[in-house]
Amino acid sequence: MITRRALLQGLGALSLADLGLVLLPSAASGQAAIKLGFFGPLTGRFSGVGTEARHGAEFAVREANEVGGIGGRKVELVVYDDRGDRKEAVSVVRKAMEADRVIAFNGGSLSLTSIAAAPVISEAKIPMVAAYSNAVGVVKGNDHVFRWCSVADVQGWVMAHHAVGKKGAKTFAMFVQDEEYGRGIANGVERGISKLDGTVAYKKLFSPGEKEFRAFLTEVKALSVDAVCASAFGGSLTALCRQGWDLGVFPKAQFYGSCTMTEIDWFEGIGAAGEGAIAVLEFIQTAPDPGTAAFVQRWQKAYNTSIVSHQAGLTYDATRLLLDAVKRGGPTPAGIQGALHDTKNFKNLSGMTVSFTELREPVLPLAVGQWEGKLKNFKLLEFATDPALIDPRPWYQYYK
Amino acid sequence: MTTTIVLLQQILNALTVGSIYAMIAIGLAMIYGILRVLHIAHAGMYAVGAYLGLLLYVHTRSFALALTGAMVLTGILGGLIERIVYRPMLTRPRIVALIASIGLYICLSDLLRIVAGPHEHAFDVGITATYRLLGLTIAGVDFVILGGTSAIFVLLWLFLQRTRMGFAIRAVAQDPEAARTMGIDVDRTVQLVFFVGSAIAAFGGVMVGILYNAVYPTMGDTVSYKGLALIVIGGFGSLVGSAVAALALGIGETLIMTYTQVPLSREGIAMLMLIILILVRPQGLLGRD
Amino acid sequence: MLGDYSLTIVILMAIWVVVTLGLNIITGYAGQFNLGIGIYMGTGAYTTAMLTTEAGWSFWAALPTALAAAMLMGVITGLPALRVREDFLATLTIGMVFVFESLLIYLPWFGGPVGIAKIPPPRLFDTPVGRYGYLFLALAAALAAVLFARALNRSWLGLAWESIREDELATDVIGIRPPRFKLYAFALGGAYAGLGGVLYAHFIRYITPYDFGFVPSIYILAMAVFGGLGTIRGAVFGAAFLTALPELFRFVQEYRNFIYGSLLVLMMLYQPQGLLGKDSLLWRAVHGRRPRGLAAPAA
Repeated sequence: MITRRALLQGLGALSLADLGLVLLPSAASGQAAIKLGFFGPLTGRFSGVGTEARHGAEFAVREANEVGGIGGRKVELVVYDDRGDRKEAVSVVRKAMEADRVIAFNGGSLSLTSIAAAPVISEAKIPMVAAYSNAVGVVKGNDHVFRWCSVADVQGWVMAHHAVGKKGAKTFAMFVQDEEYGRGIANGVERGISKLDGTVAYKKLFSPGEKEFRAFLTEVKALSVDAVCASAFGGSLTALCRQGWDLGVFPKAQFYGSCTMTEIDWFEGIGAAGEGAIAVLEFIQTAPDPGTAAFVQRWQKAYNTSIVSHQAGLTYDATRLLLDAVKRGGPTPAGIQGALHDTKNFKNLSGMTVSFTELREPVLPLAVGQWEGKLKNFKLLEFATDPALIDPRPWYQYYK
Repeated sequence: MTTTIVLLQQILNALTVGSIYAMIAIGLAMIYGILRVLHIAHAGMYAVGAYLGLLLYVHTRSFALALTGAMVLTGILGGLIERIVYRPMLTRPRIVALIASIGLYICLSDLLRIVAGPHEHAFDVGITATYRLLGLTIAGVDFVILGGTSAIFVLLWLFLQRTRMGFAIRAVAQDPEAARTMGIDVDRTVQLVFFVGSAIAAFGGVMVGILYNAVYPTMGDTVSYKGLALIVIGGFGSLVGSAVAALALGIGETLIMTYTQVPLSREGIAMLMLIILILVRPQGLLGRD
Repeated sequence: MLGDYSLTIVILMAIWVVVTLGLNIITGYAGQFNLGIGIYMGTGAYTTAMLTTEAGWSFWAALPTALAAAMLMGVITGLPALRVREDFLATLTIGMVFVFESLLIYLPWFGGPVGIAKIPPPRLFDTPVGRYGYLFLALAAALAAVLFARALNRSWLGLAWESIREDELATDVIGIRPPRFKLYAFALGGAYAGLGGVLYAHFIRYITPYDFGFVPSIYILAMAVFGGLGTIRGAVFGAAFLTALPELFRFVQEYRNFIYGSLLVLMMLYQPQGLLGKDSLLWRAVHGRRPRGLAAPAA
């Protein structure tokens, strides 16, 4: 008769055997493909964001393969879902490195998951380009992780400078999504306001996913501030702006939002509200550069939509950079690492030339865009290119 | 703006929030009252209702049709769930139904994502009017919500108190065995309760979808657990209690979140009230258990 | 040899086994519905995280403190639980875990929503414990957990719990005071979950409040019920299987939640006693038919 212990051992062995099956390397196919890893939230609360990122990455890989791949080898994107969960992110990147043997990662995930996966990837000496996660902690201390978007704080800094410098705002209200991204931007906003002698009359923190802001906005209305600076994911920004519009807070006060304003949620949901809202963006599809316009057209043909969302655009661009690094440095982790390090004056998707600093952070010109209802998109107001505004290095001191 | 006006506006904001909670709570309380099941999947009915409403509206362009259609279809779904999932579990320990309910909710949310995509869909039925009155701002949607909620309360009360089916429901909730001996079809009555409760949840879902102009797969998350808090605070099974609790929670939550720096989220506040109430007055505000 | 990835999975399995065994003590043995096991896991994790990052303690020094803290949290949350039962208790524990998560997010001492990062690995003879070392540590902990749980089950504690679970009133009448034993269950279950939390914190090395809230607690409850509530084999199997499941079904990763939810519903409909529970088809088939009257110690 089977004893209990034997059964337990058997089950344990079964589970491990199952794992073994799962780990069997995928059948080799002629000239081995160049494997790039991708992880992001494809299911769960943030699935909208992750799905867009995935499209961006896949599009870049597809375009590369259409012209013959790199060095005659096809590029393969190995896609994993991290469900917006830290443990999952750690597991999947380990699997991608071990079972799929990816030579680099395109980090298509949020700050909260990337920040857990990054050390694991870096310790294994595999390079990663974070496409849209803005938290300092993703890159800091992880020598093999690069970022192709801005540090959150820089956005806030630019936001504050524009509000005071270009709109003459003196009193502010702040709405801060209470996690890495939101807090980072808020840090930049506050320091900017303080340096420029403005005052923050109201500051409210809220959890990600919050949709009910009317009570807070009622307070803000009573304070008659000049500008409202908000940092949150797309859904919350949209709700905030709409409700503020309904209550009459906007357009009297100027609404400023962070880079996530170009998420699908905004385009779908803002409706008639939001006219004149200003966003600080890392990627703007209405940039004048012909390369950008051409890209938008190709995207439209492939995905049947004229909207290129924030995550889609940035992840496409990060993949493009990664592929370029493979071309320059060779299809090995070390080669890619070196090529990324040496990246200077690489034209990004918005038409700006960008170089990496020694911290593996880019000095990224940010676009300031204004929402126009009849355009149904953000019109470019200007690019912030002054290094004093966009240098990411000074912000490292605020994070362990 | 004077402080009174601000306060009044806040109360108005809070009433809308509270009304939505009440729509959820009432269905949950009815279901708990009759089946003693903590129907967490009720939040799934709420989300499904919103999606159905949007779908119907896109196809018929009629808000009335979309709303009633969503309520009826969701009600039917609720009845099916009772029949297929809960009824076989009646003889099992209670935890079984609870886990099944949670599994069901996870299943429904993901199904919505798989079918309709992960993004937020806009739900604009053209109720864009906002009214300014003595410095207060009232959105047309708020009127619909407050009006609809009151109407549902009244209709529900009339239904429960003045119709035979309503009587059957109250009888079964009080004592299923006695009801059975009186000739009441207990199974059908229970199913009816699920139908009505789910339909009301659908109303809540549609209204929230319109209010925030967003219909998305995880929209049920916040109300699922809050709903539990509401059944408890209201008094397990007491409909009036849940409604009162819902409005109180809406107002309390709004005022606390706006004017204080309590180290708690919206859910945290509701849950804290839940804990305090369970310990101090386990039968809830108006319960009789 | 096992690669990094398999190591990760096995270590996670071991961690969840320990936590699920803890829940099994509270809800399975003593019959106290607890939908907030995350509270104790979180207490253990945060205690060790704060001690090792800010106070510079070593893993080994922090361990007993973290366990004690988790135990204490068990008792604290157990006290209100003494007053209520069943549905009220279930709802109370849900409320408590939400408040717990909320406090972790909003009280600044705990690092806020971004949690605590850069938690150091345990050190042995002044070198950090490597991957295999950690595997050994986790498996040893799981084994110890299983053995201790068996011992508990066969002790007078186990008997008292079974008695309370079956008929609380009768137990009280014969002089065994349920409150004391319930608190023991909460304390011990809490300690188990706390141990799991410690292992988790030093493995993932980055914790946030969201790791220990209601949703993770429910996942653990699902593991216990899936395997078979009230049995050690059920807790072990449920934890191991449900941890491995997403990995096995990666090819359907798009539909994972849907499958997971459906699985729960189906299990509750057809095998609510768990796959390896006391009277499940699988267990009876494997174990040979045994007349139900003879008490076989559940293990």
